[in-house]
Amino acid sequence: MLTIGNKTFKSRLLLGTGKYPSFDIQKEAVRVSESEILTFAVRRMNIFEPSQPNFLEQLDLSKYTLLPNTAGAKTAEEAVRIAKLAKVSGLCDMVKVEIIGCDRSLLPDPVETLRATEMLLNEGFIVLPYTSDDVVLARKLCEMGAHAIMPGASPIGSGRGILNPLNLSFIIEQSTVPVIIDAGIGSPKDAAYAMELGADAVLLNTAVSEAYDPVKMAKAMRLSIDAGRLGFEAGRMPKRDYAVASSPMVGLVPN
Amino acid sequence: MQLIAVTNDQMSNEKLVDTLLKFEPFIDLVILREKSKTAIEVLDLIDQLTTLGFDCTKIIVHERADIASLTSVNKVQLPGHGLPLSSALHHFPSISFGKSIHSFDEAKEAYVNGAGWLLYGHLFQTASKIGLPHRGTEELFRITKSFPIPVYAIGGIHPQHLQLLHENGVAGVAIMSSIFGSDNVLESVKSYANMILLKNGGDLLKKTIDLNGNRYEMPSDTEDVQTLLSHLGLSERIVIVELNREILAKDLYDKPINDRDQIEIIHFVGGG
Repeated sequence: MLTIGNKTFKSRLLLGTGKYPSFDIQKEAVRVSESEILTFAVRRMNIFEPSQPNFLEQLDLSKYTLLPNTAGAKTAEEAVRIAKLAKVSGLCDMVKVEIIGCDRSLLPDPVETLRATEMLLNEGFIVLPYTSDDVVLARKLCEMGAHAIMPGASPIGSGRGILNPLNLSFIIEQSTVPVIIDAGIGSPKDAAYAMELGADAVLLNTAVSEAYDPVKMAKAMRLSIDAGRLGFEAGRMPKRDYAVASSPMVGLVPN
Repeated sequence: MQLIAVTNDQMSNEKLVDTLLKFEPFIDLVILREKSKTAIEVLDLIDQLTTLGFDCTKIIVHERADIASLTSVNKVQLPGHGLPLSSALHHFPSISFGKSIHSFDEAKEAYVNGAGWLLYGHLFQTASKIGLPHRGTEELFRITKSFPIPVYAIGGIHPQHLQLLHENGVAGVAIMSSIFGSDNVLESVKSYANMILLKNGGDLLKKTIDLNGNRYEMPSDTEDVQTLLSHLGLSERIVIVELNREILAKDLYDKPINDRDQIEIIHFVGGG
């Protein structure tokens, strides 16, 4: 079970809701992913086309926990404003702090992320900061009281997988709260790897929404995350430099 | 009856452009009276205004016919001590000139010399002309009855004067201190504009709000956030409302919406 703040979840896959080819495909992908936590962005409405469909309004909200992000914010203050806007909907009390500090790499601004996390904790939010794979920053966020730490595997939407497994394993080792690998996961292999490293969960979006068959990929991700988690819990064998035969060396059939 | 805003030479071009763009719907004309600005600065001011969509037929340049002739503006206000009207008309044939006057005789001379309109002042005591005699309405009304061109009045005019001026054929009022000197310039402009609309037989201005960054005229049956949302077809939708950057909980949707309020309607969209 995954526990974030006062909530527990069976699924260890958090799914983003952006960039799907259609709402029908998205709904099906969400269903087969068995995700319980869905991320959303908070945006100004196009009030002159209010009838445009909205994915969130087509969901059975009793089945899901909403995780609004603060994407678009460049400062802690902007992030807090977005988080408060989301919360007043009455639909969520968790927030993913996402403060981009570089438009090209979309890497998070560590200073503003730290500030926003503190401000939001003081406001009573359940705070999940999206952070780089910086080990010290992750520790500080954890000490501050963040309810989960969400280090990126590689830049958002890049699909490059896990670039620094050592840092991620350090972050996982030191953390007293769940570590959710967020951003950069490209394939089931990456998701399984994150889980094998000991991550508590994986948050991904583009890997599913941009797959040729998003529904099938959603299922693949669910299975790989389960497999990776089971593998982690099982405890993998040690690595060695040379081969050790799997078949007995005694009782060989003579020539 | 028309409303003319007269700039007071106290704002930077940037601020002035911003202010005038907000004024534009409520004024008929503006006199750019930026006497301490250089020719380049005034040109830049006009250029910015027209580039941002300010109607150039609403612009009158104070005194500087040379500047106006370099732009799409074709109206110039000549002060009492300005260029002689007849030679100005001769040298700038594409520009029409109004003349500032202080007496019946000056009005007559300006009319004979081809003024397109007259601006009479200073009608009443005003903050910008303390110590100067104000002339009252008697001579003004004589002028409006004598000449067939528009006669505008300037100087200490307040909304309550408009009725009298209107009845006596004054074509419009030019306002400087009461608008640009006030704490809320836009509210001041609108109080004049409202009175002028009434004189012109129109309805009062509807409330206009800033709705998601767009100018939005509130329908007359809409008073609070709740009725605005139903008008927009959003009352059953998942939306979040900010009123003047204050996030509104649902139990505050009966908050009245006032003129010039800023409203943001926010919703959740797909995101990672």
